[in-house]
Amino acid sequence: MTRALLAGLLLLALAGCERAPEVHQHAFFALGTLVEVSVADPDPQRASRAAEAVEGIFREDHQLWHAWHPGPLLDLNRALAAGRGARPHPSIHYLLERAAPLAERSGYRFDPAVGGLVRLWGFHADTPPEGPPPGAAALRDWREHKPSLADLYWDEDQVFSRNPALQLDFGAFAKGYAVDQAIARLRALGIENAIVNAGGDLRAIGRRADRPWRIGIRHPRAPEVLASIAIEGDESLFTSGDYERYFEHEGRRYHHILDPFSGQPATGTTSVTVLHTDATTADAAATALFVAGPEHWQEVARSMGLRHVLLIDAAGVAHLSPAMAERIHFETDPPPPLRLSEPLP
Amino acid sequence: MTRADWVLLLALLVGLPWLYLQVWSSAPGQQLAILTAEGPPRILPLYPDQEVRIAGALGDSVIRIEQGRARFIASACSNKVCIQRGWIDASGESSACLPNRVSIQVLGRDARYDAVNF
Repeated sequence: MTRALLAGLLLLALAGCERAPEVHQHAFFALGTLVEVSVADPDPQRASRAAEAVEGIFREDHQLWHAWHPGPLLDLNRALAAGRGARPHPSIHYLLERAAPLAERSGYRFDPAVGGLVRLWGFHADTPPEGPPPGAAALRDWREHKPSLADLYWDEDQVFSRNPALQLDFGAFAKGYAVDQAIARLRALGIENAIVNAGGDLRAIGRRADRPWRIGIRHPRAPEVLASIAIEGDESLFTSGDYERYFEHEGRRYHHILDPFSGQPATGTTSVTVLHTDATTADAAATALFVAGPEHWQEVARSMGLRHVLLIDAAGVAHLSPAMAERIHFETDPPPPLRLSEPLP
Repeated sequence: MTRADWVLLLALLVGLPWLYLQVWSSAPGQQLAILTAEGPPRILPLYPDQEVRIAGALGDSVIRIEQGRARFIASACSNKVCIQRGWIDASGESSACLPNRVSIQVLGRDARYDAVNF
């Protein structure tokens, strides 16, 4: 008995020595947002080196995929507008390969062929536009030409467009792909516990030593956390909201999540949160479900193979899938009105 | 139980509380990290009160530190989302002026959230 007590106390003494590893934090600006890397690793030097490697990836992507600064994407868009074929930069080639099935399964609600529309609304600028919104004639013109990723075709390694109005903009899923690249690099460097958070959209692997990672989901209409979710293992959490980039003109708010079919900011939704394994899919899906809105999000979620979805509609009602309801914890008192969907497969 | 066992037991009973206090309660005073597009983050204490002018990509951002909390009070951006965000004081909370590439975050030992999704 006394020996057991002694053994127990010895164990406690050992536990007392083990301080929870510090989480190494590294933050920088890239891809138009603030990127934060958190690495929980017993070796602080390895954590720091790994976080800096992630910064390198984002800086390179920023330059390669920029939609309005000189670079490979601008060159490709110029060639497509002129009706010429072009051999895209390998990383853009890969983005196009990843985007094609996601766009198709989203019913082209997520569609990187909307570059012309994004520019028309003034979002191709380093500072938010001041309006006014594009005129009715310009939007009608967009709808008549309505380019889509399905207009692209390949001849060996050259890409061509059947539609001269097609301009590429990877804004709706470049962050997701960059986050996936970053996690792959961290793992290659031996890191097992980390979060890569690109402007609020993140992928988390492992855990924070003593507990799972705790992620807050910001309230779309108040400066507070609406809900939280614990992540352990490997999952991505992406949110698209109408409060991220927008401008106001004559008392009306125009946000940056554009419906490719109407040519206007999508209506009916204030934010969509998607939990999924890979960040690329989660990013594209959050945009697609936002455009689909409270009426159609379930069919798009099924077609894109999602199980965990939260959608806050314009009236503040939280629509959520049963799998998401099991994972999420609402932090507001009272919680928002809830509407549970049919299970997603 | 030998005599040595009793000595060890006594040492553990006295030493354990001391060890835990030493290792677990070393919470640093709360600080503010200010990040800009250039250079490493600047770390400031959240006491005493002060105002800091930070050069950003478009112009200056002014951050006020007051009674352990911080906020943007001016920024060279058009939307002023950073100013509308208001005060931040909890460990891990942040506020950013993306157009001006200036961000502030409260540093502390145990943040309620490891990351915030938005």
